[in-house]
Amino acid sequence: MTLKTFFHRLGSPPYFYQISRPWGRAFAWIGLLLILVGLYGGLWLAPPDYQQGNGFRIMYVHVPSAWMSLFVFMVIAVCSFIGLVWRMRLAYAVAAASAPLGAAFTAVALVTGSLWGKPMWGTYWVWDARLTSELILFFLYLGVITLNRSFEDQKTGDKAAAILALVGAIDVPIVHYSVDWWQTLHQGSSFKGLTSEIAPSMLWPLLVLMAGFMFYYGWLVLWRTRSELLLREADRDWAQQVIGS
Amino acid sequence: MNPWLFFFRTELGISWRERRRVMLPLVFFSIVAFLFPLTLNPKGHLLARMAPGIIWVDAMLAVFLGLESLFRHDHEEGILEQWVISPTSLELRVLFKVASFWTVTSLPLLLISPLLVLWLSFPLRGLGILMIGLFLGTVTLCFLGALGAALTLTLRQSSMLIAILFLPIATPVLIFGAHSAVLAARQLDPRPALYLLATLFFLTVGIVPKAISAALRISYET
Repeated sequence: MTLKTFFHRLGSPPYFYQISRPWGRAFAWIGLLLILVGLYGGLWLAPPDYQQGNGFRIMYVHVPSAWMSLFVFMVIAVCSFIGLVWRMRLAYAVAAASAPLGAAFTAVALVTGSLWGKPMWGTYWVWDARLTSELILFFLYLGVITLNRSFEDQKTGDKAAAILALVGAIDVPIVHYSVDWWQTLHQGSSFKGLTSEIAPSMLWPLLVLMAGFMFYYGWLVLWRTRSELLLREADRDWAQQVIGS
Repeated sequence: MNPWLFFFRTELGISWRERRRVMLPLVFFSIVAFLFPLTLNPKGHLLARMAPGIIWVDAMLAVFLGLESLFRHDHEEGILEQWVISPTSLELRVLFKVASFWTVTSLPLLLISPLLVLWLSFPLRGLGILMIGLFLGTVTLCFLGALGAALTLTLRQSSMLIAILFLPIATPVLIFGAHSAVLAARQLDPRPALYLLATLFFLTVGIVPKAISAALRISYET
């Protein structure tokens, strides 16, 4: 099966509903395995940091969440584009299913970041460039979610949220850059970040956890898209059959 | 007369009929600015240091105030529907519509900004830069806000939703705008901030009318 025919077939919700079940299961198991291995490596095997002690270990949840918060926004933007251009119903369902997940990843990144900030910086909140742009990203997610749910007609909500997501996707780098610029002008950089000079024993669990979070998201998004499709197509034959059986 | 200029003039004329819409943001803008000296200590340098931020947040709120009614009337009267089905470019119509919205709601703010400068003890020599920055910034804010208004066109009680959509997207404008004012007040070279504001200005004027038109079309598609 070529990629093109696969893409065309994905346009059919019953087909997606059928194949998403084994794929979702596979993603769930791979994600669980990777997360367990990564957590074991990060929380037990990796040595304490010479400056931060054991406090740095929160990074193993924080960094993958922050990474996912951007990744999921990109997924939503790409799906929105596909939905608006090729009018693919599945793309809208994936975008709608992803938005709350992305918001949750962003919230986790913010909370873990400020918990880490308390012992390290002495305060829960600093107007650090990354924290600030992450917060703005969180508000953008809330906007996409709220707009999508505000209309009586789901199709209108999908399209409106898609336009907002596309504009937001252009805006996210600008926000990041502007906040970076603003922060360097107002206060000296309070923190240089965890640069790539991480010891290999600390780095590999992080990479494993990032892959694990991707699979975890993949599982959740497939699972949520299935429910979205059933809700949206509740009056179609295939959905009736699924609900009936 | 060029049909687009005629359209622009008609839009201005309609707004002028409802002068309340012109006055309201203006009054709001002055009252909000006037609250700060009352709540902060008006003596000392605190007020002068906060002035750029106050003026910019205030301008943003004043723009936001008028957004809900931007397309509302045209939508209810069916004019917008005619725009959507008309063969002439909807993007250009949107461009001129928002331009007239800016002329009616934000241009007066620019004109009374000298008053705010006096109230908030912002240095007078920075006034010119402040006004250039406000010009670039309010146009950008109007277009971004119009996108929020277009997306929520068919909803009731949409102003809170517009705020959620508009304010996060508009933060870069606020950052560069307020910073250009800070640089002007300190008599430093304001060009970096102004160039960045101008970049956002052209980016927004170039791209956002397309997004606004797409958002307006959605309302009539189903």
